[in-house]
Amino acid sequence: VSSIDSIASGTRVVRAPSLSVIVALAWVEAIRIIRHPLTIVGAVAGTALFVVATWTIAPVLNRDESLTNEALLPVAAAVLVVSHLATSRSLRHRTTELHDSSPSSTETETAAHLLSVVIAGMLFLILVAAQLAYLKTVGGVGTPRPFVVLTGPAIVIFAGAVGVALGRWAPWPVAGPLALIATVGISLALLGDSAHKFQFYFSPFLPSENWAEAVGEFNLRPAGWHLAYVLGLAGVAACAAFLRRVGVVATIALAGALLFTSVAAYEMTRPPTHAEKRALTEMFVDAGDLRSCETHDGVRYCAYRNYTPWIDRWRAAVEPVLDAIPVGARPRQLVITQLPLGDEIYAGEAYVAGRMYERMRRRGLLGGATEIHPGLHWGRNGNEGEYSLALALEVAARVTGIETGFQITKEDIRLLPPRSRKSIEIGRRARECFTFNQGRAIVALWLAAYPHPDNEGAFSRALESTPYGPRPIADFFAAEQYALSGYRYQVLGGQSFIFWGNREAHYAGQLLSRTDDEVRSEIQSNWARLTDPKTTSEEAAGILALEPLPTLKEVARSHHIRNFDAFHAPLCR
Amino acid sequence: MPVIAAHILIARPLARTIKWPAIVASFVPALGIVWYVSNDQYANVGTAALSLRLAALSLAVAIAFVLDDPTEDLTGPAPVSLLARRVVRVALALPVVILFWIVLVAMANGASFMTQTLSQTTMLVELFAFISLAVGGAAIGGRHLADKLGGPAGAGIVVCVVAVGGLLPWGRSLLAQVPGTAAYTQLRSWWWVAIAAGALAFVMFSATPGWLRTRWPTTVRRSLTPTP
Repeated sequence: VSSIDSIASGTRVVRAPSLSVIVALAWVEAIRIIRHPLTIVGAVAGTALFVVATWTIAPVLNRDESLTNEALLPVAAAVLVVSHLATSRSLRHRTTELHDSSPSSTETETAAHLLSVVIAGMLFLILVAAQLAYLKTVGGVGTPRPFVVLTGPAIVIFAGAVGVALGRWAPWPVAGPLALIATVGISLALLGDSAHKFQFYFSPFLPSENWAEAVGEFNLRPAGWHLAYVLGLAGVAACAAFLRRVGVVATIALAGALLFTSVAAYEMTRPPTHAEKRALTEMFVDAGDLRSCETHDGVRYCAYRNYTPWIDRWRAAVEPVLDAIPVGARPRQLVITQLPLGDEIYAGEAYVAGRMYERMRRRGLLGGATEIHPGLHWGRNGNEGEYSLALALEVAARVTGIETGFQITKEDIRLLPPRSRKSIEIGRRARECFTFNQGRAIVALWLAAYPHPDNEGAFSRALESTPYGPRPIADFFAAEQYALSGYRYQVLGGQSFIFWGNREAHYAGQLLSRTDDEVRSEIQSNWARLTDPKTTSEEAAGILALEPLPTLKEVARSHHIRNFDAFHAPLCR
Repeated sequence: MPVIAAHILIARPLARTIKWPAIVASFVPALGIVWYVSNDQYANVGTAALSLRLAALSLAVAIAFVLDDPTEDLTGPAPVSLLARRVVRVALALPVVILFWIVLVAMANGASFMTQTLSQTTMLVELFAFISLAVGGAAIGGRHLADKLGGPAGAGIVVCVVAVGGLLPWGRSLLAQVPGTAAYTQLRSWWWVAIAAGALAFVMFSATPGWLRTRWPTTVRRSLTPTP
């Protein structure tokens, strides 16, 4: 009635937005947003994905916190649609006139809707905190980066502001879902297939570092400026929501928001300086101060300070190998020093650091011959066995005397099949080698696989994926144990690579079916013969009373393969 | 009056109540996404399929609103069932969408790094799967929402299902598969499952309660009716 009276008398009632009304309305709307089925489904789905994505990795909080942004994406999508429906509610329910008669103006309602998405976004920070707490509880190391953590809620606020603006300009129910699809399409187009494109950072959402195997330490992502950019976009959308009614003020505010967003976008896309790129090399150049070292049972473990709790994981892989060998055969100066893998540096877009790393690695400046270098990733749950097995295998190779890095001689070439001789040069340093027909490889493989059911499981999976034997036992033949090479690559990188023979791995598989004590005592009593480089696989199998397996040649012949013996590296010494 | 004639007669008034602007609006993001990919110099068959699926989602969202009829309170008592009216509404909107879709697929096939073209039939099946889920969801919403307008529910359901299809089965999701590959062939039947599920929901929630029972033969009905 009051509305009709005011129109009839020709006067316009100006209702100044009251802060208390805005806040009261905003809380009501925020609760409605959070209670909406779409938002609940989004939050549950996002959290479930977060748990699934981190299930098989040992969490590192300064890397995996970026997954919280992705976990909030379904929430952001829901908030966009829900806030749009909320803003256009009066129009959809044909209650606009009723709302006009209320003491709060349309601007007040718009402000309240915008504040409600801010409140909802901040409340979702609780969900993010819960996700980070979960990571910490399951053994997470490191400290999350605040700007990265805040970007998730900022994306929710941005999506909500878009929904409100759309509710004011296009109050049709179809507009919300269509705007969502358009936003997803634009984001995907901006992201493209490479992080090196100029427009990459213009996407409100950036894919988690987790997917690219990158690590937070080597990432030059402008997290702070990107957060400012997303908040600026939210500000632009908020101003656009007011633009229809409060012309001049909203236009000035919009200009301010656009300026802020532009500054953030400029800073965000500014390439890092050479000094910033070079600073990343501190992780491996004279990095002694960055690491914390402990000595256990004669083995020295050095981990970056954030990763110190991982020393226990490494010990669990290393110590059983040393326990199973004769005391006299223990290496004197075994050092496990954490070092980033080449891929971990390059995936972080740190090319200057990457090139320097490769140069230093080639020259042997990143650690002595006695050092083993696990990287900045480790597995968890069903995946830990692969990591543990790869590290144990490297230790087992050291204790059984299998080594790379030797100078290739004429004798090394002579031992190779004729087909392989052309590709290997005398005098060069062997960066990789094969353990074909070497009895000590069987011992090393067993030492690495036996200690833990996880290791054994990973080893069994490797054997299943690369079967060995004449038809019809297997219709796939490989001289090399590819799966073990894969494990090794993800834990220790591609340097100084030992390619394990598939036949030897299957011999070790036979040993795993026996009791540990029995095998251990046999290995200890025949240690000298079994680890002699000249002892062949047949001889070792004879000593250990294993069921003979066909030779590589026999298996290759049964598979009608002629050039199986084209090795690209010498046999290990 | 024959049933077909009744359907034809109601087509014109129903066509007027369809939200055509929503359908036209859905063309904009669909066209934008496919146009961008077809002009991307590094686009391949995978990105082309992804862009078409986003476009299909956009079209399906609009189709979800086709069932929304604010005049239903007036047309309800007409001698044509709700299911029939809805079938007519979808049948009126579908040709426009299909024609536009054919153009989109042709446009996507023009992307530069395409080693193979996307089959019109295969992509049409995918579009039908999206649409079927959208109308099925809209029918569910129409039955249960207070205002009987199920469009937002249909749109929400198809978006949710697509999000799920983009992730599941974990590691080799349905929507990540490129048509023509072995993995796609393995999972292809899921598109038909989606079509069937959406169509079933559409029929179940559009039909008058008890409709199916009245269609059963008299002997079956009598046997089901409890004797006093």
